[in-house]
Amino acid sequence: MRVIVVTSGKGGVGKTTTSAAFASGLAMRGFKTAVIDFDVGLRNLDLIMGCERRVVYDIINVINDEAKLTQALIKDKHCESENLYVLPASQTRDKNALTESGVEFVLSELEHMGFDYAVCDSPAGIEHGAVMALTFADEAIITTNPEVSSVRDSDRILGILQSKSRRALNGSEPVKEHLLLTRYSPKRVEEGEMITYKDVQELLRIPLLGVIPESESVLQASNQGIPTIHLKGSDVAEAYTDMVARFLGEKLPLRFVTYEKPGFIKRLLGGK
Amino acid sequence: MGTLLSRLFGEKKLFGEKKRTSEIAVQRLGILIAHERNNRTTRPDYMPELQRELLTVIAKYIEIDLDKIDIQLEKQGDCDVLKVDIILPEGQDAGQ
Repeated sequence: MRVIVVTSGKGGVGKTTTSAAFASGLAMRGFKTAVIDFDVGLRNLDLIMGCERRVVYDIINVINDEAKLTQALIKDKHCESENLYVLPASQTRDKNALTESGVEFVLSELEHMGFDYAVCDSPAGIEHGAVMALTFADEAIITTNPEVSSVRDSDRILGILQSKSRRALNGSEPVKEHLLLTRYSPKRVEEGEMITYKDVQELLRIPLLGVIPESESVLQASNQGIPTIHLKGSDVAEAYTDMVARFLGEKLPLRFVTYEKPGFIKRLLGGK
Repeated sequence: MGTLLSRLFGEKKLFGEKKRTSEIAVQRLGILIAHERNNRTTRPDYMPELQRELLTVIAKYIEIDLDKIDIQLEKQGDCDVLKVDIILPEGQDAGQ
């Protein structure tokens, strides 16, 4: 089983949206996937996944042996493949209940159950919850907005991955880092108002996994509790589908990164 | 950094000039990230201790402000350079 943390340092950049879409995408490709909310006290993955009314037990219950992992896992209803499960965070408990040995136990149980991937949705910040989410990661998706504070915080979280993850501490192969740019607006980039994805990549110096365009459909999706990747025909769904394919090793060109000025560009390049 | 359109039309907009603030952002981030990464990768564990001990020695001879010392390990070509910046209080003559 591979453990993938979706992290960013900064809040509000799209970690949960990404965790939901990415985990769903892996499941749609046939992998048995669990997506775990590490934001103890402020859980939201359940809402984004649209399973908030089916939460009975959470990760802390499992760690404290108050429930079996199989009781706490919620089967996702959006993927026809029926191989995606959500493990919610506790809403009320003390954050310190999320212990390192507890997380290790949950992950090893998932592995025994035959899961291919565990996607860890990190809370914002660099405190305990965020560190717990990245501790056991094999790979990390650094979710970043093309904006100064987000880029800086992403660099800080890279530093933490390189010093506090289990892989860093025991000197094994480092955590594989991927950059995911979210809320990207090609139009604003074109107008010189927004940093280009190339610049972000040059600043952070980690491989680019994808660029997700800023889109109204993200709100439409969260309103309904449907992971964005299921919004057929939307740019965001296609960008996330591409990102999952690249994660699985496919070479795909970036889409939705250039602004096409209506009319003129079409004439110049002969249409798309 | 210029895109096809900005190369075709130049940086100027038809309706007034708009500052390309993204370039300022990239420049600021470049400096900041380089600085923060340098601190992260070249600041060994003993640095805070070293800073404290240096300070104790210096304080035996000169009255200095505890905050006015900055030590950094920098790479200059093939060499590692330990840079110690100590700001002496006004009125202290370094020659004495």
